[in-house]
Order: sequence, then C-alpha cells, then structure tokens
Amino acid sequence: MIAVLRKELASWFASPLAWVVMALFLALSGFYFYTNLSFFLLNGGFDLTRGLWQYQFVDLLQRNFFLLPLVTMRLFAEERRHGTLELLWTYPLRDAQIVLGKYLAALVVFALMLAGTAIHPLLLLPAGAPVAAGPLVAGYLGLFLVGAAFLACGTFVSSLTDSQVLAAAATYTLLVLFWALTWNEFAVGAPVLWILSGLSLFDRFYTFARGGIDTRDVVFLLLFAAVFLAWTLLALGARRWRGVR
Amino acid sequence: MSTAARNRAALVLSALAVLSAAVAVQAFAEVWNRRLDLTPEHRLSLSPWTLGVLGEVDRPLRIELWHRRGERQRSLDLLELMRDHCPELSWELVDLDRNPQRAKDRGVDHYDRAVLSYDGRDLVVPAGSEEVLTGAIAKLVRRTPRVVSFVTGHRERGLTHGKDEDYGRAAGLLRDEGFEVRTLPLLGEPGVPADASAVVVAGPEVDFVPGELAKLGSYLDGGGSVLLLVDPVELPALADWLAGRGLRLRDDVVVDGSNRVYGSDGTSVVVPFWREHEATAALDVPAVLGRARSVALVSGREEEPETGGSVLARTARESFAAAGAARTRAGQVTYEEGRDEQGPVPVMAVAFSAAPAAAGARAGRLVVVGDADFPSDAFLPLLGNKDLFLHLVGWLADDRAGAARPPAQTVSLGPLSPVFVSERHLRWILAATTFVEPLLVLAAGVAVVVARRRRS
Repeated sequence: MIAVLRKELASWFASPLAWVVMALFLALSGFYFYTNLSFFLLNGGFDLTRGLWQYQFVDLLQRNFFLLPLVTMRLFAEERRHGTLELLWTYPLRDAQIVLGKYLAALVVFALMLAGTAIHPLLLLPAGAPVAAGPLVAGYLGLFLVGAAFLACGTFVSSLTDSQVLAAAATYTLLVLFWALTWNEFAVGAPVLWILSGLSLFDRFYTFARGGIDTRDVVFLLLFAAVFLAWTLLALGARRWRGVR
Repeated sequence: MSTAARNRAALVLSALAVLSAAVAVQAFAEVWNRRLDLTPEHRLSLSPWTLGVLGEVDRPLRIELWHRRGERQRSLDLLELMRDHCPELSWELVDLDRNPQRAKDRGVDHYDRAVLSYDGRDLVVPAGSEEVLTGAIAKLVRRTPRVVSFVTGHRERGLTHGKDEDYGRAAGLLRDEGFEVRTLPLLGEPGVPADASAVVVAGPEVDFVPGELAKLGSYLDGGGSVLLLVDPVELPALADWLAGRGLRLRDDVVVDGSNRVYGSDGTSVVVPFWREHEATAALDVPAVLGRARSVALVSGREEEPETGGSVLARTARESFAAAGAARTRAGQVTYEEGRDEQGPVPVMAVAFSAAPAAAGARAGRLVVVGDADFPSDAFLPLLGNKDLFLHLVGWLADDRAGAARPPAQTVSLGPLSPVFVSERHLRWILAATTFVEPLLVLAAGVAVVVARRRRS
C-alpha cells in the first residue's frame, strides 16, 4: 500500500494540475477569508467563532466541494484510459491495498491544501485577536472528515469509468445530492426530513463549524467514506469478472 | 441462473450488506452520541441554569418553532439538546410562510419565534437563543407572578390605551407573559416594595427629587433591577445620579440622515446591531427609536460587561449626536465638527451595582435607554421594538439569573468588533492569503515539474 501511495504522490506532484488545484484552492480560500474578516470587522458584535470561523469553514467546505472531484477524477479513470490499470493488477498487491493507497494519496494532497489555510488564524495574532484553539480544531477536523467523505465518493465514481470528465461530473452530482438533501425541507414530511437530515453532509458539518464535535457526525463521515471505499472494491472486482478493463 | 446473473446478484447483495452494516453502526452512534464542546464559552452545551429549569418540567411541554425556510438547523440543535435532558419536551418545526393563518392564530408575527405550551398556557418568544427559550420555560413552569412596577409622578407615559405615546400595548404584553403590572408613586412610598422584580421609569419629563433617587439607589444596591427610559429632556438630578453609577446622559439628540426611518426627519433612528451581552441575547431584529439621546459610560470608565458597565447598542456609523437637544427642534440638523459626536452613537447601556453581602444574592441591574418612545403604542409594532422591551424587562426581572446564567461574552475590546485590524493590516492579509501564498505554491510546482522533466 505504501508503494502505491508513494507512486501516486510522485505522479500527482509531477503533474502541473496538482499545483494549480492547490494554488487555486488557497487563492479562493484566502480571498474568502479576507471578505469574511472584513464583514466581521464592519458588522462585529459577534464572537470570532460564530462571526468569522463559522463562515470561513463553510466557505472552505464549498471550495473543497468544487475542487476535490478534480483530485479524485484521475485516480482510476486516468489509469484505465492509459491502460496502466491492468499493469497495476499484475503487481503482487491486493485490490484493497491499491484502493487504499490511491485514496490515502488523495487524502495527503487534501491535507496539504488544508494546511495551507492554517496561516489564516495566525495572521490575526498581530492584531491581538483572542483566537481560541478549540473551535479551530473542531472546524478543521470537520473539514478533513467531510473532505475524506468527498474523496471516497470521488474514488468510487472514478472506478466506474475511464473518462475523467465523466468521473468529475458524476462526483459533483452525487455530492450535490448529499449536500443539498435537506434544502427543500418543506417538500417532504417530518419523518422523511429526519432521515434526509441524517444523510446530509452539510447538516453533519454544522456542529463542527460552530466549534463542537458530535461523535455521531464523526462516525457518520467515517462510515460514509468506508462505504464508498468498499463499493470501490466491489466495482473493481466486478470489472474483472465482467471482462472489462 | 447464469454465472453473470449470479455475479450481479452477489455484487448487489454485497453492496447492500456493506450499507446495512453502516446503517446499524450509525444507528448505534445516534443513540450514544457524545458532544465535545470546544468553544471557550461552552456555547454548544446547555448551561446549568437551563438544566435546572428543564429539571423542573414535570408535565408535557411543547415547543412550536416558527422559522424561516432553510434556517431550521440553527434552532433544531438547541431543541435536540434540550430534549436529551427533558423527556417531557416535544417540538415541532413550522414554516411561517406556508402556515400564515396558523401563525396568526398562534400570535406569531416574525420568523424564528417559538410558541411554548405548558399546562394550558401559551407563550410566544424569540427562538434564537438558549437564554430566551429557557427564560420562557421558567416563566411557564414557575407559577409565582413577578411584579413590574412603573414609577409615576414625573409625567411618565401612561399604562392605558388611548394615546400613541402611552404604554398600553406594552403593559398588556407584560401581563400576557405572566407579569403583574403595578404603578409606583415613589414620592409617597417608603421605598420600592420588596416584591418588585423590576422597576420601569418610562419617559420622565420632570426631574426626580433626591429622596426618590435614594430609594431607587437603595433598591438597586439591594439587588433590584431598574429600566430607565429617558428622552432628550433636561433632568439634571437624574443625570447626576446616573453619573454616580457610571453612566452618562448628555444633552443631545441622535440624528441619522442615512438610516432614518422612511418619512421621518432623521431623529427616528434604527439601532442596527446589538452588543453581545446577556441583556440583549437573541435580539436579532433592529429596533426603531423615537427621538433618542446618547447614553454612554462616564469618561475614563472601562467596559466590564459582566460586573461593571457596558454599552449595549449603538446607532449606525453614519449617525451623529447633535449637541443641544433644543437645536433639533428647529428643523434639519447638520453635523458640526467639534460640537457634535460622530456615530456610531451609544444609546443603551447597562450598569451593575455591587452584589449585597447575602450569600447567593445578585448584583443590582440598571439598564438605561436614551429613548422612551420605542415601547409606546405608536412604536411598539415597529421592527424589533416589542422584542427589545420584553427581553429587557424579562432579563431585569429574572430573580435567578444572577448566580446561574451562562456567563456573558468576555469580548469587549472595540466598539463594533472584538478585533481591531488596521486597514493596512487588512490589505496585507489580502495580499498574503490571496496572492503571495498561492503564487509560492505555483512557483514550487513549476520548480518541481521542471526539475523532474529535466531528470527524465
């Protein structure tokens, strides 16, 4: 698995796409931090957690939503298109090791992107702002877990097709579904809404953004990722007996 | 069955088995949820006060939450937390836009309102915060009526319907919320009665005599609560008394040409933001003041939101306090440098007196608003005026609040925000986050890609 991870990371960072995606993510995150901070300074009277970090974390999550499918679209689709996936199958590796290696590589890239935004709270320190660590820990943990769920979803979709564009588009579709399940909340009755609310990635992120950690949300996001990774394994196994690449 | 069909069936069953196992684990996690609250103020946990009040609920308590579309989550979290600690509590989320007639029947006239039903009584309150919801539950659960006394003898506003400037509607609302409303002729009484939960001075036009102020002072120092609503009229004795308690009344009128109420002359001003303080918790709608004066801390006094004094509300940045109340009666007033005070102008402040020596006693609370029009029959229905008045009286009259309420915010560094960032610092932040860091990443990327291509 480590070998796959290293190969994936090497391949990822050899491509200009990775750096462009990271730079784009940081530029957008930085601009939103600036606008959120300006809004907070002008319309303050709130505390930092609710008035600044909550908005900033939700904005960062939206950036992840748009950019992470670009990270996962290539994981299997690119290999399949270039015919290198068959070569990978010939290595003495289990399917699970291949899937986990690729997934972890995507997670590392994502973690690096997130780490770049850690300068935002640091930039407030010269102003003497009372930056509390707790809400930041909760917010970043939530971002990482939801990002991990996004990546698992994208990994699964990438395993189903040899078109990177199709993989990204289908991932967006699935994520939009899980993101906005409860947006039209009045179109359904209360019992259905209760179920949909439990499946909504946005609702699961809400407590993290406000500086708290609910164990049920942590478990949900980990399970979300685990289910999609398990389905990736099943999809790859199915391709073998179906006789397609 | 063909091999392909068997494989497909096995695939579907495997996928469902994975999903089922995940659902089972999640169901367990939902039941055994634990919350880790990492906010410095423990905002995501229920306060001991709330837990205590919920512990007193011994009959079915129903909460209808009337909310704006898409903002269900904000109050839902609080209700779920409360239900975890109160098996008698049930709640329902209701869309105000889809149920206008039902909203009208229930007395709901704004988004984010909660209707609480307990033991045959209903109560409508803002639903935005734990404090307000808990206060409402406490009102329903505790049966002893609390007394609000309105001081008379200084040409204050009346408590009956009929004139626009009187407080007929406001008094009626207080009675609806379970308060007993009385009048209090201070001059003829030996002091403020001990059972008064709060004393309201509603727009005096005649100044107080020293004996009256001494009675009010003694009541405050004994842990009482006073709401003082003062229009821009000359009240030198009252102003001196307030100065002794750390609050300043100036001879001025707040003027706001840009945020003025449509059709007014600029002296009816909107208070757009509320200071984070337990006295103004959950106030989420701006209020409209009539002809208002500034109320501030006396010069040199530091803000101490929890123990000393604090400004609670200011007008917009574009407003100013025109010195000399008589000046504004002549017509349109323009800002005069050096004479007038540039906005945002403080128009509401709180001061605490020292807590009495008795164990568990709370400090006296004095809230001063530089306007007596906002709770009047003419102004009460405007924007958030009703909420402001009821919330202030409720906060002042809550006799258990002092010892057990969650602590107020400790942030109090600037007039509008707890963080002061200079314009230069802000530009520097924009440059660093939006340009410098991403460009450094791009530069690193170019270096790595070029180096690898050269090597290969």
